[in-house]
Amino acid sequence: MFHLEYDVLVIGGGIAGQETALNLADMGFKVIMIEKEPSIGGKMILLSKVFPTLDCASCIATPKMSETMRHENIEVLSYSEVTSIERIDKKFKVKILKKPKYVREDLCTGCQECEANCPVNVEDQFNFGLVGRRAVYIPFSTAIPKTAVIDIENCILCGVCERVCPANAIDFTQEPECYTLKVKAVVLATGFNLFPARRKPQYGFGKFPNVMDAMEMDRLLSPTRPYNAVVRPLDGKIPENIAYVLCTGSRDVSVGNPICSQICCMYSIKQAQLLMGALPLADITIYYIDIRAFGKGFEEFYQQAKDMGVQFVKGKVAKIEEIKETGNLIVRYEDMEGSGGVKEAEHDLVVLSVGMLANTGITSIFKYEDLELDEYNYVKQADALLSPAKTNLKGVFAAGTATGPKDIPDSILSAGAASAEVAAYIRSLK
Amino acid sequence: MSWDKEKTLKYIKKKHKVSEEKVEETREFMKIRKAIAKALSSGPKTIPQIAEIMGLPLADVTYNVMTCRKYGYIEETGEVSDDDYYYYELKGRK
Repeated sequence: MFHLEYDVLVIGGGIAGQETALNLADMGFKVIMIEKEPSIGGKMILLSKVFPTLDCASCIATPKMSETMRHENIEVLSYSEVTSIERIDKKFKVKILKKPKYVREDLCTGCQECEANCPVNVEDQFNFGLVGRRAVYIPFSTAIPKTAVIDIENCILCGVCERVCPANAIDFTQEPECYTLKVKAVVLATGFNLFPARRKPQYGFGKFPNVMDAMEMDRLLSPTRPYNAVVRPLDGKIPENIAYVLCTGSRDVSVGNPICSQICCMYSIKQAQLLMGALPLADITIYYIDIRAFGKGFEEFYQQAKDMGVQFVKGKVAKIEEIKETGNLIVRYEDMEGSGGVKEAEHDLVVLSVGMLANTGITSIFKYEDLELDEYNYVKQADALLSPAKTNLKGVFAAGTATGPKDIPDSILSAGAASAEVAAYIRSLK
Repeated sequence: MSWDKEKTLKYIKKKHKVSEEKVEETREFMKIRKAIAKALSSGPKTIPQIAEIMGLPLADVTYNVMTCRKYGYIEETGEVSDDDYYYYELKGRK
């Protein structure tokens, strides 16, 4: 049941937000989680598998999402945004906007009858535009809450959904709802943005259909894969010769993001291994400037990929061109090993291993005080070594990639630190 | 108690204007869906074969074939052509 006072506000329902909320809820604190999307899960729920164990991402994420949703001390508000946070004495006054789903969550059974009958087709943002979705839709098969939402901007108001819904859950009278809450502490678990590959026009993303980014490839490899196979977006051909371009938009001063994404080496190696399984005859080439296999089991994972036959070429890719007749791509790169010099290679599919950018949407919500950011626009840690979750604002903490690039285990670790620091902070208020 | 199956639609129709562009896009998708079904009515085909019949760019046909596959109108046969394309066929759904 919805209340007006909670101990902790967690902004973001990704893996770090869920971990923080669950830790605090298990300690007895009342938590409210705000998620801007119609489902919690963040980016992890959209992945195929995780490195270096190759565990199924959904199999790890879904039980945690379910536990978050069902925990008696956690209230989840999906499709909602925090519009302002104002400090009042030792508490925060939080304003929340809940967007209308035009579907009653208490009645919707997730049967998808509305979705099956809706005539509209728009690009499915949860499959990164590889396929379409309806105007009334459930974001993905493991969505939580598993209730439909109507994309009113693309809805043609034909009324089919309302006619066919067996639960009478469609409700076009819904309006945006504003809530004001009081909380004792705030956790920013707002995650990151993927580097938009279009910002490297020389790689042809968005221009050449067979140049895709790594998140799209992860969707093609996931259990809920939109093509039910790994095929080229241009023509549905099974690729035979796939290239990865590492550090696309990271460690790159020319796009203003000089830092390492911490993940693109390992997720590319993960995808290469999965592709070797899905397409045993395919050649996989990874163009890299350094392989940063820094975590537990990462080096072994890298060596395993080499043993499986993945080719690693140390070379900075300068340009990608399309061969019109075949849709194949010419990768022009600087060979940094071997004979050296500028070389070209033909591939039938290229995957851009995009980096991370800070999610800056949260910074403007604090009233009368400024949240300090670091030079790369991530939330600045007040003391990265001793109190990694503390920000410059007392009572405001950060978890996961809100403070900088991290892989999933490190995000979960940082969420553990955040929950410990929040618990200590709230207890100190008494 | 009888339930007016379009009672809340009337409410939003007074407030929200649907653009003609969206309606046209929906009509266009329905046309494409029917054209894909027609192309497949004579038997399973690969995406380049469907594109040739429809006279549309390959990438657009791939997107629409995969979308129709997602909605359950078509499915892959499991057969692969000599030039590495899956064959797609009509499924029961109309």
